[in-house]
Amino acid sequence: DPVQINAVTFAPRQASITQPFAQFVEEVNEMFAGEIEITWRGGPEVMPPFGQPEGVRNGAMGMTYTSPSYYQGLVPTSGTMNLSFMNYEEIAATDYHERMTELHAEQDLAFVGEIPATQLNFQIYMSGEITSLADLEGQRIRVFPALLPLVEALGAEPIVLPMPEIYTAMERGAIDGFMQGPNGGQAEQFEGIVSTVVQPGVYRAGFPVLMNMDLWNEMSPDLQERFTTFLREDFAPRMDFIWTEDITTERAAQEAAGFEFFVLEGEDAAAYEALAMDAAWATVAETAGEEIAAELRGMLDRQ
Amino acid sequence: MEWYVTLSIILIPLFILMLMGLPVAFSFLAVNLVGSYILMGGFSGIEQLVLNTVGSVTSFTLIPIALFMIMGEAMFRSGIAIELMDTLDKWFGKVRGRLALMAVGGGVLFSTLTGNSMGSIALLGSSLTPEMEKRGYAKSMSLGPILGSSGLAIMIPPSSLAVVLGVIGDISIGRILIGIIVPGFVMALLYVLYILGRCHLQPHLAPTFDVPKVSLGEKLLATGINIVPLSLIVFSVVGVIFLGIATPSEAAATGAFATLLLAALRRRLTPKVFGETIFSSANISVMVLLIVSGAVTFSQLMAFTGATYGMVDAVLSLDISDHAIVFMMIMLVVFMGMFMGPLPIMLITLPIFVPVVQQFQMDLIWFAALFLVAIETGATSPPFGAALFVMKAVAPKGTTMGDIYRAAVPFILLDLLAILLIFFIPELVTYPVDLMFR
Amino acid sequence: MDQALTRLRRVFSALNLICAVIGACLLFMIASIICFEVTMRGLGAGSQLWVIEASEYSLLFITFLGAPYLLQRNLHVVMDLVYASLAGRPRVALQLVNATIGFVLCAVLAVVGVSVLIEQFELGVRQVTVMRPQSWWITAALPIGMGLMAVQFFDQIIRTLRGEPV
Ligand code: NA
Ligand code: NA
Repeated sequence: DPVQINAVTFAPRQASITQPFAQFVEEVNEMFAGEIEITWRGGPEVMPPFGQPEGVRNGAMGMTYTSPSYYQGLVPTSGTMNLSFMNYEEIAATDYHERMTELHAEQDLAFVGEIPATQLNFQIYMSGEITSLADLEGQRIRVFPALLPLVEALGAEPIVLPMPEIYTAMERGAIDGFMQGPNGGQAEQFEGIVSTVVQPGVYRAGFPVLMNMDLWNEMSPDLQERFTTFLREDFAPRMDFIWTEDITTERAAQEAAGFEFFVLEGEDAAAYEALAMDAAWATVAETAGEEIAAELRGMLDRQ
Repeated sequence: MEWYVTLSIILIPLFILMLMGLPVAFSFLAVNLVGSYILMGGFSGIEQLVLNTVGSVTSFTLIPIALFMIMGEAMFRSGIAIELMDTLDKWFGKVRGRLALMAVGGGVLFSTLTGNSMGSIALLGSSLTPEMEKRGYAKSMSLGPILGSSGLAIMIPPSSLAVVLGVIGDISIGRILIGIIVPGFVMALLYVLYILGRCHLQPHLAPTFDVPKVSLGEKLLATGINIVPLSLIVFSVVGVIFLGIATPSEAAATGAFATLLLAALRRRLTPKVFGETIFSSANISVMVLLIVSGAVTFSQLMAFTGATYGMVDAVLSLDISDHAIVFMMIMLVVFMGMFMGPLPIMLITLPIFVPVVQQFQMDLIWFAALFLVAIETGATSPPFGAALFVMKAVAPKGTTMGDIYRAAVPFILLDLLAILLIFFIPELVTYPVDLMFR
Repeated sequence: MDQALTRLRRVFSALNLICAVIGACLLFMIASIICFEVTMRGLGAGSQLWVIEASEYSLLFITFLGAPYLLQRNLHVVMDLVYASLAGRPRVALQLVNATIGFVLCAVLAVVGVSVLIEQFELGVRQVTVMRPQSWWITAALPIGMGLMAVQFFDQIIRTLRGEPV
């Protein structure tokens, strides 16, 4: 009998961000027919996104496709998956994924691998005009906790706000900006509200695929090996750069919506990127320990 | 298993437990417990239920409900609400249904707040209904208008649900917010016409007062003392949002404080009144939040079974015209609203519906407006519409669920009428949008 | 026996009331800290990042600390369509069934709640937020509330069996 896996994702079905996982489920169910059967139950409507990794750990769900920053409370190093400017193949060449497997196992979670999206980094969307990084000082920027260190390092004022309030808060001036990816439909949603986008985007995106340990152990070592290899060496590399068209379309839409782009170049860009990394790694060192932070950073920093 | 079988297996026990008199919150919990155990791996499922239940209440979007409760209780206990009604009686004593009309007006006014109909019911229900009943209003004319107009909260900006809709469906938020205004006022107008008509036909539902002749000076004085200061409260809720001082959720807190402050300024906020206000608003919040948490996790269970996705597929595969399909989508949203919260409904249906509507080449903003009316209609629809339970929690003692259902029905029919109007006259939505975004 | 029962009931009523009062204080605290945040921000001072989070946790504790008191006072929202029209034996029978379901429900959730809490404590799980509190502090709200409510439902069973008013 195949191993039956109930899966849940951090974003709803049909959201563009979950499409790679939809494809993963399809390919796995075909390639491992008779051995593995994944049933995708749905997204946040089935289980709250921040509770999904814990749900997988305790066995209420078999698998989750989630965001690394959603379970730093459970695996303190998970957030490091965002902290690189390298692409997937470069990271895969290091021992990073093997090390993550061990760190997850310590907390009783099976780390199958990640579905990467190097292009989906975080940009700053501002309601006012920005012509230098100094303009960001004192500005109120909505973040989720993972991005807090960067915003603080920029001298801006981080604000934590529920997602549904971003629009009204921006429109009324209660906040001056927010950080999001390059392809979230901002042109459509924030036309007339956002005026400047700060680029380059920082960090990288990669979405871990986690499994329940008991369910994982139901698989034979051989199957575990083939399954992991499929995700890490076959599937993931194919997914890393599928976003080009999405980003281009959204970029055109943002230009049409009147967004200006403030692009840092040369040394400024390098300084900004260094600032982003230093701030984030300092936090990792604080929450996960200096030693492990240094070790992981050694693998993820551009060589 | 067919979706309707799964749906029945879950809904029927829920209904039976509630009819047996097990409190609503515990009925949800019981079904959630058994469901999680069976579906989500036994003991692990219950562990997850614990986590999900805790997570469902730990939500900033629910905070306005509790804070509006403070406002409503403070207005009621300090006598501010009574004086407001006295003054209205001085001006409009002979207008039938004036307090019901005021409830609609209040609904419109507070709809300029965050898009949370439960907050509106909390506020209007706790401040207005006790006194309305004292003045001889029938339940249908005291509870009904409040239930009906509470839904306007999500129809008139700012509306957090409209924003969520825009984000999930990838639709322009600005356009949705403009698009829903006219439908919101159409609904308010329907409510007003209905109240006037019904009170004309059945005058006993909303007695008039033979107010002793009052001089104009006296009326103005009463207005100055009892109504003008209320603008402080209105400003502290609505004004602060428009000035960008506070976000919609925060405005509920400034409103609560302003109400307490006003009561204090009028020397009505004795320690006893203050204590009672806070204690009873906490109590009602608990009743409501416990139900909300049960309902949220219930929605999650429902989504897990796939029954809801089955329903969606069933509607989409109907062999009818494009327009009829869209209409059925909207009706499905009303139906789901009877037993699920707005957010899960949006997460389940929007990603599937929006591309279909696009494919039919119909206006997305028009669809979004219809969708929101449908959501709010479902929320006030028996048997499980969450707004009805909130009303039960705040309504005066002795109000039965039957009273609430009966009071809600006419307003649900009016909402359905509004849906039909918007459906057949898309210009109600598209004209203002075109005007604003040419 | 009766005396012991009465004393026990008094202890638990007092506990329920204390919890409810703590909940009410938390509610007023939420209103206060949010107003404080709005005022300070309006005056140009920095934003207090912990305000939203602290309010969320408070809301959770308000709910589960307040629920036992409401149960004791029979104030939870009930669908009274059928139940209210019943009298005599059928009503007593239903009362017994409801109290039993409620007791089992709350007892199970209290026990599982404690086990989740212990697991979170041992693993050192934290909330993924600004304050990053240990999750077990948050989870604790549920077993406290459920435990007190299990006692309350158990008392309902006793009362029903002894023919005392519930
Ligand atoms: Na509104
Ligand atoms: Na309505």
